[in-house]
Order: sequence, then C-alpha cells, then structure tokens
Amino acid sequence: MTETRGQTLRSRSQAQVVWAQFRKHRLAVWGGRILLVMYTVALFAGFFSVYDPNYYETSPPKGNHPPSIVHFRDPDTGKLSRPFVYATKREFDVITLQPKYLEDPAQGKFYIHFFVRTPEQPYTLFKLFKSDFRLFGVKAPGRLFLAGTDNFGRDLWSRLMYGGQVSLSIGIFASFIAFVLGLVLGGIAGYFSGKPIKISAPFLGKGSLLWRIPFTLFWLALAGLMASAMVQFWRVTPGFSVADVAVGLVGLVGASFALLAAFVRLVQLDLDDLIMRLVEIISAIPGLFLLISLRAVFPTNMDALLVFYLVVFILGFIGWGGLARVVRGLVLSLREFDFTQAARALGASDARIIGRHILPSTASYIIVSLSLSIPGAILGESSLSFLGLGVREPYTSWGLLLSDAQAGGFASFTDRPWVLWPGFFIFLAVLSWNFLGDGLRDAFDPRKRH
Amino acid sequence: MAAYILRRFIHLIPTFIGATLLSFIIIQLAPGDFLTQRELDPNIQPESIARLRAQFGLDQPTYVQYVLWMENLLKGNLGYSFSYQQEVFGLILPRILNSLYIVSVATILLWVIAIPVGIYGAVRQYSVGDRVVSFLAYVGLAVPSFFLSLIAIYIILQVKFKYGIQPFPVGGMTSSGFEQLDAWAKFQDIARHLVVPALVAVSNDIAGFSRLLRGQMLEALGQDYIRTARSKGLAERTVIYKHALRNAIVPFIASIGGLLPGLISGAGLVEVVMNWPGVTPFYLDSLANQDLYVLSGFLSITLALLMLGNLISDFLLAWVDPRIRYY
Amino acid sequence: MKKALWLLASLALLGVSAVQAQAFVWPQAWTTAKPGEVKRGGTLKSSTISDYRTFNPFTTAESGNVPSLMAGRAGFATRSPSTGDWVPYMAESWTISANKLDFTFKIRKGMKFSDGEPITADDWITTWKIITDKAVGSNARDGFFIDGQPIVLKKIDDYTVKVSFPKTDATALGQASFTPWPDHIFGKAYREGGAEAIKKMWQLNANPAEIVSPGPWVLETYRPGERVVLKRNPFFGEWNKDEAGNALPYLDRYELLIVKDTNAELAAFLIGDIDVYAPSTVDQISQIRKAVADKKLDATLKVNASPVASSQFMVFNWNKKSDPFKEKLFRSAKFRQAMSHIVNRQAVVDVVYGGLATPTYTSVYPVLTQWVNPKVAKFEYDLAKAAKLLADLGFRNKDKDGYLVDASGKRLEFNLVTNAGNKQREDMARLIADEAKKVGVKVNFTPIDFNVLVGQLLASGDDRPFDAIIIGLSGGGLDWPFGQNVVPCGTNLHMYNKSGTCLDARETQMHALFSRGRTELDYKRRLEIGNQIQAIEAELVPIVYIAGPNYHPSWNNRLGGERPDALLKSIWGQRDVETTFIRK
Repeated sequence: MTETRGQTLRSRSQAQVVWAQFRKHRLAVWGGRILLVMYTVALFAGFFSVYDPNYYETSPPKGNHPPSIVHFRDPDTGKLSRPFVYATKREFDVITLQPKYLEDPAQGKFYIHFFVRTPEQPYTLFKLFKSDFRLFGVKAPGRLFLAGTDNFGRDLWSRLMYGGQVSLSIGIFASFIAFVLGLVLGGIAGYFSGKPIKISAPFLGKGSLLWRIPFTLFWLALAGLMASAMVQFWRVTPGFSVADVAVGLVGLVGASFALLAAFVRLVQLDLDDLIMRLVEIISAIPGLFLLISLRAVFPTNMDALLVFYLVVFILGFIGWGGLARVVRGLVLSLREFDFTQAARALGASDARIIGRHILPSTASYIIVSLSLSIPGAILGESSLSFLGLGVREPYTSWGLLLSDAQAGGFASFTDRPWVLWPGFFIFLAVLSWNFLGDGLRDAFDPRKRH
Repeated sequence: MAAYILRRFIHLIPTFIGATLLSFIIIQLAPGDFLTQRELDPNIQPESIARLRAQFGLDQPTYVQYVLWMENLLKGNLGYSFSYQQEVFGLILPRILNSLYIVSVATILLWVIAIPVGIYGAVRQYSVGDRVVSFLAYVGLAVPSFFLSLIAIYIILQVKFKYGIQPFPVGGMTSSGFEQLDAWAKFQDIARHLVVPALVAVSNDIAGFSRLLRGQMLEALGQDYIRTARSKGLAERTVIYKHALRNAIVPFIASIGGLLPGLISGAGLVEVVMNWPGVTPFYLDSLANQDLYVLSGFLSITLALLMLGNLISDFLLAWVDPRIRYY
Repeated sequence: MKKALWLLASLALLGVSAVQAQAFVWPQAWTTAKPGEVKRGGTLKSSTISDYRTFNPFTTAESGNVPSLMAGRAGFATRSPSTGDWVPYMAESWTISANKLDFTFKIRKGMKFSDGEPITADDWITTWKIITDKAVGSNARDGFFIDGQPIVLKKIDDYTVKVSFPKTDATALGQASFTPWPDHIFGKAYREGGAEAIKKMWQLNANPAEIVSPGPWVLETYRPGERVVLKRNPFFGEWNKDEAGNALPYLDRYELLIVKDTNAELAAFLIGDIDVYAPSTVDQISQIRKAVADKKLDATLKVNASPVASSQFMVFNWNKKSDPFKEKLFRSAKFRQAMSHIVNRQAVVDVVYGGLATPTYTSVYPVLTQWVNPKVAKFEYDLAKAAKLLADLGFRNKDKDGYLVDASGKRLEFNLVTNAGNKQREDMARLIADEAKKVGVKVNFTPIDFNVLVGQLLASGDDRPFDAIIIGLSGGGLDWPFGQNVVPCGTNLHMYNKSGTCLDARETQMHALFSRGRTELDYKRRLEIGNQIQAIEAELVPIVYIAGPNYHPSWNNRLGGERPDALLKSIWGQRDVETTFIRK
C-alpha cells in the first residue's frame, strides 16, 4: 500500500507534490487568492482609486460623508438603469451635531462611467509612469465615495487603495531583512556551536596570509575602539594634557600587544556565543525609542514614506534575534543527524554541509514562519500608527486609517461606521496570510501526505 | 557541561554591559531630553531650565552619565526618576505587580485554551471543527489589540444602555471606594475588572500557540513510535496524551525561559485602552517624557530576566533533547 | 474628670465661635447651589489625563497637580468669578503703600492645616523661602522675580505679612496669592536638611497620613496609575461657610480617576464612573448628547460654553541669515498678512474641530472678552487679497509648476513643520499648505518630532533652522493677558525673532507698551495699553493666529452646585468643588 503511493509520488517533482498538497487546504487556497487580489489592487492603486488620495474640497465641504448610495433603478420609470449616484447636500444632525448628507436629486443623476480619464488628478504608477486612467468615476459635481470620506472629505476608498501599498509591503520588507540575517547568523551559530575559532595575534600566527588579514583587521579595530574610548574619557577628566594621553595610549597598546603575544593560545572565539550574546544585546534595544531616535536622525525634508521604509528596514535589522535562536536550535539538532554526519565523513566542507544539507532542511520551517511573520508585521504597523510612530501624512496606511478610527472612539461605531473599513482590510490580510502559512506548513510536511 | 555553564555565566557580564550601553546611547540619540517639554511653558525662564539640567546631570556627556548609572546599579540602585523625583525601583514595582494580574491570568488562559485546541486540530485534522476553531483563533489574532479593546468597551456600553446592567467595568483595575472593601470583596473587584483585558490579551496569542502545537502534534503523531504504540493496542487516548503530547510539548517547555521577561513587560496596548495601571502605559509615559533612568531601569530588569530566561531555555533544551551536545 | 471634660467642651465651643467670626463666606453668586437644598456627604468622581508625579508642592511641575487640588483657592486673595476682581481670602484685608510697591496682608485668624496646626505668617515666609531656593528647583520660582529682581516677604507679626515688589506690577495680587505650606513640616525639614531634604518629602510613596493641607482637601489614598482619593479637611469648614453658615466643603471625598486614554475617559463618563467631564471633540459630544437624548444618561452638557484660553498659530522665523531671500520675506508684514489671508479659519474650525472652535486673530484669547480689542484689523481668509499682497511684493509670475516667482525667477516656497502625532495641528498644516497652493505658494509640510520642533523654535541667534512652525500656547491672565516670556523682545518665547533685539519698529513699540502695561495699576489705562498692543499686533502679524477650541463642560445630574450659566466659562471652570454637592 505505502509502496505504491511512494512510487507515484516519486514520479512527480517536489514542487508538484507540495502544490497538490497545498490545494487540499481550501482555506489556504482562498487566502492565497485574496492576497493575490489585494496585492494586485495595491500595486495599481491609482487605477482602482476614484480620486487622488489627498484630494478634498472645502466648499462645499464633504467631511465625514457616508458611502455614496449607488442606484440601479431609475426612480421615475422604476426600470433598471445604468448605476448612478446623486449629488448630496450637507446638514447637521440636531442631536449629535455631526454632519449628515442628504441626496439631492434636483442636481440630476450622475452615472458611473468605467475606464475614465481624470486629467485634473493624475497619478504615477510604480513611481515611474504618469497616468490619469481610472477604472471608474463620476462627473463633477457628483461624487462617488465608495467607502465614505474622512474629516477632510478625502475619499476613503482611494485612501484604502494607497494605504494598502504601505501596509501590505511593510510586512514583506521587514520580514525579509530579518529573515536573511536570522537565517545566516542563526545557522552559523548553530553549526559552529562548541567549535571555537582560535584568534591569532595580529601580523603573526599560523595559517595562510589570507586568514591572517581578517584577524589583523579585527585586532586593529579593537585597539582603535579602545583608544577612542580612552580619549573620550580623558577629555572629560580635567588635569590631563595631550602628551599624557599619548604616553598612556602608547603604553596601553604596547602592553596589550605583549599580553596577546604571550597568551595567544588562550584567545578563542566561539561564534555561537558571540552571535547569541549579540542577539541578547540587540533584543535589549528599546525598539520604540530607537524608532523615535531614528525618526529624528533623518533630515526633515526627506520623503516621509522613504523615512518610514528606512526605519522599518533598520527595525528588521534588529528583529532577527528570535529567528536566529530558533534556526540555531534547528541546526544544533540537524548537524547531529545521520545525513550530516555522513557528509562530514565523506569530507564535505563546512560551507557545503551548511548550504546543501542543513539549510534546505530548515526551508519548510522558514517558509512557514515567514508567511506567519508577515501578518505580524502588518499588525505591528497598526500598533505603531496607534502610538503615532507609523507612516505620516500625506501618505497613509491601513494602520494609520484605523488609528484615526480609534481616535474617533465610539463615534466611529455609531456616527460613521465606514471608517472601520481599514480594520476589515487588516483583518482580511492577516487572516489570509495565516491561512496561507497554514496551508504551506501542511504542504511541506512530508509525513502528512496521504 | 560544567565548563559550559560556567562560561555562560561569565558571558552574562559583557552582554549586560554591551546591551545597557547600547540602549543608553540610543535613548540619548533621541533629540531633546526630559526638560525640553518644559521649555515651552511661558512661565519658566531658560536659566531655570539650564539649572535643572545641571541638577539632573543632563548636561554631562552620555558616557559620564552611563558610568554614574552603572556605579549606582552595582550598589543596587536602579537610578532616580526625573519626573517623579523618586527611586525607579519603587515606581516600577507596583506597575509590574498590576501587570502581573493580566499577564498571569492570560498565560494560564492561553495554556488552558490553546493546548486542547491544538490537540483537537491535530487529531481531527481538516475536520469542520478544526476549521472553525482555527478560524476563530485567527480572528482573535487578526484584530489589533488596541482596537479589540475599544470594541469590548463599546459592547459593554451598549449592553448597559440596552439592558441597564453592566456586565463588566469599562476600564481600570479597581472600583471607586476600593480601599473600604474587605479582602474578599477586593479580590472580587479586581477579578471583575480583570476579565475583559485578560481575554483581549489572550485572544491575540491563542492562534500562534495552538497552531504551533498542532504542527508539533501532527509531527509527533506521524512518528514511528506512535505507530508502534498503536499497534501494541494502546488506547487512542493514551497514545495521544501519553506519547504524542509529551513529545510535542518539548519545544514549549524549552521556551519557558522566554516567558520570564514577558512577566514584567506588561500586557501591551490593551492596558492603555482599558486604563489598566500596568507597565505599558507607564513605560509609554516615560518614553514620552524621556525619563532616562526609568527607561534604563526597565531595560536592565528586562534584560536580566531575558538573559536568565535564555540560560534556562538552553539548559532545558539540553536536558529534554539529549541529541544536543555542548562543549 | 467629668468637670475637666466639660471645661474642654466649652473651650472648644468658644474656639468655634471665635473662628466663626473670621469665616470666609462663599458668595451665592458663584454657584447655583442654594444653601437650603444642599445635602452633605458623598463623593465627587472626576478624572485626570496623566498620572501624578509627586505630592510635594515644591517640586511638582505638572498642571492639576495634587498639592493644587488639595489647596483649592488657598492664598491671600482669590479671584471672584462673578466680578473678576481679587477678593480677600486667607487674608482678611490688605493695604498698599503709597508707592504701590508694598502690600501688607492681615492674615485671617482661626485658619488651620488639616493636622489642626494654625496657619500663620511663618507658613508664608517658609513657603516663599523654599520656592525661591535655586537648589530646590521649584517651577514656581520664576513667579517671584520681576525682570530678575526678587519679590521679598517679611513677617511683621504672626498674622501680618508684608510683600515688597521691586517695581509696580499689575499682576501683584496674583503673584502674592500663593498657597502657604506648613512651616512645622517643611520649615523644620528645610532648616535641618536644606533643599535636599525638601526634595525627598511627600513623594508618591509617602504615607498619606503625613500629608497636610491648608485647603479643602487632604490626601486619603493614592493608587499609582489608578486613582487619587482626597478627603475633606475637617478644619477647612471652620473658616469657609456658605451664606447660610454651613461648613464647606459639602462633600466627604473627591476622587480623581487617572485615565490616559480619551476613549476610556468618555466611557467612564457615559457609564457613570465619573461625574464631571469636559469633552473636547464633536465625537465625544455626540456620544453624550445621544445618550442623554435616549435617556440612557442623566447628565448636562453645555456645548460651546466659551472658547478655551489657548490658540494654535503659525510663526515665521525672522532670523535666517543664511537665506536672505526667505529672511526678507518672513520679515515683511505684507507677506505675513498674505499668509493670514490664506488661512481658511472656517475650514479649520470645520475639519479640525468639527465645527466647535473659535477663530483667533491676536494673542489675546477670545475667552478674555474684556481684553479683546474689537476694532483691530483682521486678515481673514481671502485668497484674492493674499494674491494681491504677494504681487505687491514682486511675486507676479508663475513658473511651469504653477508656483509664484519673483522677478529673478525665484520661487515662493517655504517649509512648514509641526509636531508629529498632534493630529489637529497636522490637519491645520495640511489645510494651509493646500490653500497656499491655490495662490501659488509652495508650502512643504512635514510633521517632525516634538523635541526637535521645540529645539528649532527656541534656538536663538540670527540664523535659526526653521521657516515656519505651527504650535500652540495656552494661559494668559485676566490681570494682564500678555505673556512676559512672549511679547518683549529677547525673551524665550518671542518665537518669531530670537536675535535678542527688536528688529521692527512696531516690535519695539510693543516691547515698550508691554512694560508700561505690566506696571500700570489702573485697570482702565491698562486695558487701553492692551488695546494698543493688539492694534499693532494685528497690523504687524508677527504670528498668524489660527483658532482655538471651545469649552464644553458636562456633568452628571447627580451633582449640584455648578456655576450659573453666565459664569460657565473655561477660565472659571464648571464649578467650585467646595460648593458642589450630591443631589441623590
């Protein structure tokens, strides 16, 4: 029984097997489809939006306008007609004091046109191509607000499209850098755990010239660091002249060289220790504070979106610790497995063992946890926005839009529920990514193929 | 092994120094300091600000401030808060204890809910129940906790408006007049306040935990020894709980050390929105105020627990998984 | 034994009757509470947005701190909401010397701290000494100096204090009416341990029993991050009475819930956890009004009761040596008038404040009605006028992007910043930038970190880093609404020009008028000077004022004793806690 199944499986490639398995997980397939749609729409946000995301008018004001009602039936004839909307008039609710908008048929019907050009509101595609071609729109002064407007009267539908660009890409961006670093450093740490590297003294020591150069550089850097630290301390300690500092420096450097030459055999460096301690140091960095500091470091006239991506990039740079620990653990046990032992016995190099044997074995874990860390980053972006540290105007993101809704408080539920759309999109994206990850995990697991 | 343990303990020192120094630099890198916000007060002269800055030592270079702080730390003093003019530890401790209510209840809830859910998902893989439960778990994960808290408050308000009874408090940890209650009533009062924030806090974690456990269980159930156990004619219940679960739970036991810093880092933004007097709002306040020593005090406690937790994790990992060797 | 008790009791009675003769009677005009209908006892539940930092009156720095809550109106004089005048409070009366420099206060007899110790001249002297000690670092210290010269207190006898001012000062009574703190506690510590001992006192972990107050309330319990509970000072009622002779305060307790999140605060009010609330947005107001209309909440809300004493504004930097083009521009009154014309204040009120705010044009906040000069020029929203003014400055042509350029082809462009995270200011900046674009001015708006912003704003010298900033200030007294740190050239918050000297002739005029007004004791003449300052300010537009929010007091109807409608203003607050009572 198992024999025959094994044979049929072998006739297909690994990818085909995974794909067949993946398709069995229906929620995962749906997740994948939804994500495909979302990413496509976000990519062509300009085309799918109705207005420029920052366009609004102050007279007549359109702030907090509810979603436009699209009519399919002609009120005069009662027959089906092309979809149209009415222009609206603003009034204030006597109790809530909030604006409300009443349809004003007197201004006529505004039919929804497909594939329209809006020369007064052009957009750029991929930051490169200028265009004014949109999927649909209505003629002014009619307005088509599919998801209502914000307090300015900016079209939320269009803002959602553009916000998706930031929210959906941020996860991939942040996860990618963290994964590359976590994988490489975690792999090295696990593989070399318990196999310390002996560090030779500068300029001397055994090994080839090529091997000596990095160590020499290492020592020089260390010496430089010490020297600069000392100079700094001396600068604030009164009563020392430049000559004192120079003499002290020379003496200190000389002494350390002598010590090194004498005890060179004792200097060992365990990469595992080094990397894991680095992980601990990095995980102690106050992330929120780093964010504030970084924000201030970039020049204020820099593009706000670019700044945000840079900040996320750097956050990814310090976010690899947890993954590195897991990968290290995986590698620690993998390297004791039979196949690695066999490869080593056959004389394979470290690089080959890591690259050909160990890393592929962690691949399924990596793919799965990547697909699970992306939704984490999407949620993280919304938390940052809640704290006022996310992307800034005029750019927007689902997190920023949701934190606006949060700031409105209960009025967002009762007076203008349409501002909750960004919450729904975050929800949908996170859910889809998770199901996708789930499906991938099951698909990659060789034991569960039946 | 003994040498390994010794080495790990020795390594704690440079790690601690490196991490605190780095954090210190990053905090100082941020523009301005604790007194910047007072400069906009029309009633305070710039000379007064300068004097206070000197009093707080904020005019000293970063490394001098660091050395002084380290010196105090060695004497067991975490530092002095600028805005509270009080020792940091005494300020932090009540906040940590308050947060512990949520964190401990949420952690217990997490294990109580997520383990059965994970096992169920593995034993009845792809069943309707598995799909419904995992969907629900993901729903909890997919709504940002700050927003989930707001929804919870809104629901409580609507229930109160509609039926005239208030199922749970809308925020805070104690009711007005708490001090006059007896011990049992105090316990009940806090418990009532605890329900909603703990549920919100746990809802974000159930999915992650239960799905991981499900994966581990599936893996364990596919192993040879399970087949052997089954073929021996053991009851399915025994196979699942005695054999599979014991192996599947190993990585979680090994990561128990990671829970340590979580105990003091608070329950997150739910504390802010539900007005729980825990660590998170306090920490955010200190961040906003740039209360340097409160921040670094927090960091050094977290760091100490993190290092300790990692140490315990590594030892546990070596203990439960004999394949891993240390030198 | 029994006899001795009798004797004690009669002595106590005598004491009470002696005290009653000294009592301060709270005027009926300040409150709607009728002595006949008030009930005693109960707890007022209020809220505060940020946690407390200390109970120490000398080191506290935040507004609404616990010492000021406990002290209430404590001070020689207090300001009457009904007349706006200073009336004797802890002083029975005062005399002013012929040169208007020395104020001699006769202290009311029979006043006691919450521990039963009498309040005497020593308490004022000690408080003054500690506040003015540099080493203590008190926030109140600067108030005791006028142009660097100290205000000096002298004890004449136990119940008389002389306060000497270095120059005549319109705000003298306000300066002298600080709260006295107990000499038998702080004075003792100060004499023994100096400033360091003072700083260590009454921290948050202090035992509430050690805390002593001269005012209506004294600390009962404090739970960090949660709640402060104040209880009635039993001795306060001996010298504070309502018109029927009832001891004040009526309430037993005054609780403050610490609520950091505005939504949680609103929820607490809607559900009845707190009794008083001041909603700041139309969203909060809509929730309350709806709950009241649906009979879910029995509360009162007065929408737009008055403006708040604060305003948001845009300030241009006059000190840009490295960029002469911009420096010339920003120093030009015409340019700033044009910029005032492009501020669509109505849209700001609509978009930013949901319709509930007041446009502002000068540094005198609209709530200080008696000080507002109604005749000053207003450069209201008018793009055509803005374009004309800019054309006068030489910006007549537009470049290919549609922006105005001068004769040499230089584009009219500046950077505008405000602090990130303040959504209201960010929205204002967006409105301004978009309106500016309509007339062809390129405004590059960026939100930046608050501390960076303050750093740029307060930098001094002739080359400062920013172009224009949107920020807000609040405050402004009824005696003299112009800020001593704001109006005179060379002061710290003279934000548009921090070169240290006046650059514009009208700036110099304002500087001189400020000094004259501050030292003018006659109210009418001071008002006249204030009007002149505003007239110059309105023409010069050194700062483009935008708008300030309105005050919407709200309370649960289980409370009584709010202010009559005419006095329901942000400067007076919705009620005195002393005369508040619980209806049910």
